Amino acid sequence: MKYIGQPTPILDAVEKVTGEALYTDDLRFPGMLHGKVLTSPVAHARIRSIDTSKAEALPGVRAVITWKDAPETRFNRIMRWAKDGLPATERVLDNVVRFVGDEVAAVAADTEAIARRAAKLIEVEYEELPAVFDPEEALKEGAPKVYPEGNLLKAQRAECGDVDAALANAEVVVENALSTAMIHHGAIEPHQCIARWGRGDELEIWEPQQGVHRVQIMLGKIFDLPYTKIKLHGERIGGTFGGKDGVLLEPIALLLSKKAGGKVVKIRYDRTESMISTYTRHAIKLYGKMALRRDGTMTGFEIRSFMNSGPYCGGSINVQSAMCGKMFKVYQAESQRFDGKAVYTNTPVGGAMRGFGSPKVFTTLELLVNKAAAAVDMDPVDFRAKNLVEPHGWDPGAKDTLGNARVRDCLLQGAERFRWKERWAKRKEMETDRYAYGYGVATALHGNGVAPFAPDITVAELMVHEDGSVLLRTGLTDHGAGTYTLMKQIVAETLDIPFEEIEMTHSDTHSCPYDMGSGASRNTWSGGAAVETVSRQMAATLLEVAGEALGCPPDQVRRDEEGRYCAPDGTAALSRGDLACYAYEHQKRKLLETVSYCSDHNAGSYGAHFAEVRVDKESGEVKVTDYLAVCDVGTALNPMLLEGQIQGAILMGMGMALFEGLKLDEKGRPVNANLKKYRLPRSTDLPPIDIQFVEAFEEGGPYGGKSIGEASIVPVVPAIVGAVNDALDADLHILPLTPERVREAIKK
Amino acid sequence: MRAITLHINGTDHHLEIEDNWTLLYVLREVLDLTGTKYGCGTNDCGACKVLVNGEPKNSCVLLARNLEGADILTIEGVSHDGHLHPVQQAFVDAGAIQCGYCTPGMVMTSLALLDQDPDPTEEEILKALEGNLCRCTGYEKIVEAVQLTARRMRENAES
Repeated sequence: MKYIGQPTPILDAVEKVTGEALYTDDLRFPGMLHGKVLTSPVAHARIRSIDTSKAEALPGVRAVITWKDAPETRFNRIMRWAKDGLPATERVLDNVVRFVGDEVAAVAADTEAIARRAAKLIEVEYEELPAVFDPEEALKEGAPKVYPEGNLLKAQRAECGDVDAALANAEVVVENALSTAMIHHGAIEPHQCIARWGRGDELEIWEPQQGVHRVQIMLGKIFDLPYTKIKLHGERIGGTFGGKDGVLLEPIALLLSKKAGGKVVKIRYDRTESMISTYTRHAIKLYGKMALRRDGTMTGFEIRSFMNSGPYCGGSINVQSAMCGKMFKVYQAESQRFDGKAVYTNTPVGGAMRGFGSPKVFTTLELLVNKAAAAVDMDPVDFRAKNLVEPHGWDPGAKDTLGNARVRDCLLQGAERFRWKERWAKRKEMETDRYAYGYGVATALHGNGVAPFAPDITVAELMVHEDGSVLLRTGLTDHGAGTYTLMKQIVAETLDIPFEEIEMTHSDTHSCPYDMGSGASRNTWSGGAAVETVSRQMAATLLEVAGEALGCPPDQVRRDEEGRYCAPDGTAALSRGDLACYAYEHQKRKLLETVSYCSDHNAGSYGAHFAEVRVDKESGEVKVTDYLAVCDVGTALNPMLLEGQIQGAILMGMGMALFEGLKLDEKGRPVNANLKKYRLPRSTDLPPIDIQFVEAFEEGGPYGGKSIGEASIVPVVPAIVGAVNDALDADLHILPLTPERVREAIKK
Repeated sequence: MRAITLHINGTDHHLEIEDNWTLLYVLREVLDLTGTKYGCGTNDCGACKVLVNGEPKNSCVLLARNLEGADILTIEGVSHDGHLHPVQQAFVDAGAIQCGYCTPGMVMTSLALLDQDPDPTEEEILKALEGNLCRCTGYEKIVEAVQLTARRMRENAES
């Protein structure tokens, strides 16, 4: 193929490397005001009074808002569509604050410095309420209540077979626990938003945003305005990883703009605000239990999960549901059960982040599998190979086929390439006085889109201009991972058009058709399939027009070497532009194709990852010293972008395993909410990384391809944590594995 | 306000600044040189990296008033006459760019490194980039871009 499968750099690489690429922070509007948000210093309190008079009196201040200015409406920040029924628990500003960092009031002023000074002049009297920070504590009787009706947000239980019976009849039972930390998305671009409340209640927003059409819906609900009056321009995104998905700063900026008489207001969170006041990857406590036969057959297992949602539902129910759904897709054990509780607490809000629950559920499951293999004295690769699902097997959770699930191929090819057997056998011989070495392997997956649990819709339009160049119109949003590049590859391949003759719209409510949002690993899968579909429709239309113009049936039209459309005898040759002109002149129409595409199947993107670690027994520091990721990608649509996704995921997963976690003190105050204390992976953490693709056409994806961005992070954490436990013969299960925790384990 | 002259990308800029204005603020908000990015404001992420007398520095913690007479280079001064600098071209070719927000800072650090050592080892590259955070790429392709630049510059010098 000419375009599909070619390593192709992202489209705007040159703009980015020269500094010409504009992000939200680089936009300028006449008379633009700067906003600052005052956030709560206490974890749970009723606001007794707010005095804004001193702030308002400061020269240069144009608007101050508090809960008294906010609509009564309660909303959910991450609604997928108009009637998805997610609990609506938050107000734009409320008279109760529920975590340290919760928004209390906001100021708009001529400069950011004035706004900052003014925010400090707002006097708030808090009546402190009891607070709770741990999901299991929050479920106990007598625990402080985040809401009068209690702290249980949602219990979700799903089972196939009979797990209790499997455990009761098991020859061997193993158990484990895992505790994960709140993780900051760490996009280098902090959260920000520019907004204008225009005359006639026309709202307009410029911001980095994964789901412009979703935000339109939520703002419509919050302000009780027709969707069509709410215009979102999704600007270039400086990293998101799930962190810029849904409503955060928009309603605050809009209320400030309204109060300031319709002036444009920009709010840019600083790093600390971005870490605390938006949302984090959920902290979750999990417990696993597995039933086995002595021959290594897995007969059943269960994962119990206690999710710390923070005080607002946000995406918690969906994350929990995704954990549950994915769990059933890896092993063949007849009996499997997920039993989860999402719980309200007074910590920062938990929400979507790359992997959407999968890293937690599969870290638990894979570390449990390591224990199971050890308990029956089997090699962890052999144990997995014996129990993994097969391609086109049955998913008892979704009651659907697994699709072309190539996890076994990933595992077996990886084990050979990594020389697993040989290295596993010799690993203890490598140990020195100072260093211990260990190996970890993990097999896991993430999905492709939201089917079958919700409609998964992307609308795509393709138009051929009369000079033959084409415009692709979709509302897709590129996270920075290369979605737009891939969409051009698909159009180029299907219609045989060079890149230079393809342009596209994206991420805008009013200039683009609908897209449900760039989450759930659906850009390549659903967006790509929508674009392939509309491109194929256009290919067929071009043949029909050619047939009419050339006076022959469409199926007799031939293409010459330059892609022109020729009569069967080769006498006439029409370019794409000629056909568009013919349609315009003789058929009185534009060449336009459109599709409202809904993905009806959710394939798995699997992977098998292998890690070698070196543990410094004195300092407790862990260094990943070798890494192999074998990924089930369907078709490798753009190998350069695939590799980039996987490499980034490995470092991000390493952060979750070894360094990262937002820590709170006993009153719920963050103690490491800056990049000096919160350790993100750095260049010097980079291990040698080997990446391999297992390519096997996946039905339903564009040209047989499927998602990678989220899938590639899922096996990383269990591979690394498993390797550390292997090196130390330990059972470390509280993340991250900081040097202190590692030293503690060595002492034991 | 005080009057100051800053020498940026080969041009003198005569400015009126406040004492507490950082170089980053002056670049972005006064001069509209928005290629240099704000990421943390605390000297920790490298998105605002510029070269001051050839040394990579985080402009978010440099006070503009202390930089009179210094030679300041930002990302806007790296390419000439529409031609990418070899470092920039290598970032494009190696696939070292995803969201691009850290890219200007990465380019500045890489430039300084290659200026001091045209043939750095992988370890030296990793060490030089330690102060530039990237959440997208996992650094691998950025290292490859620096190596590719070094190789191309070497080949150019030989031919």
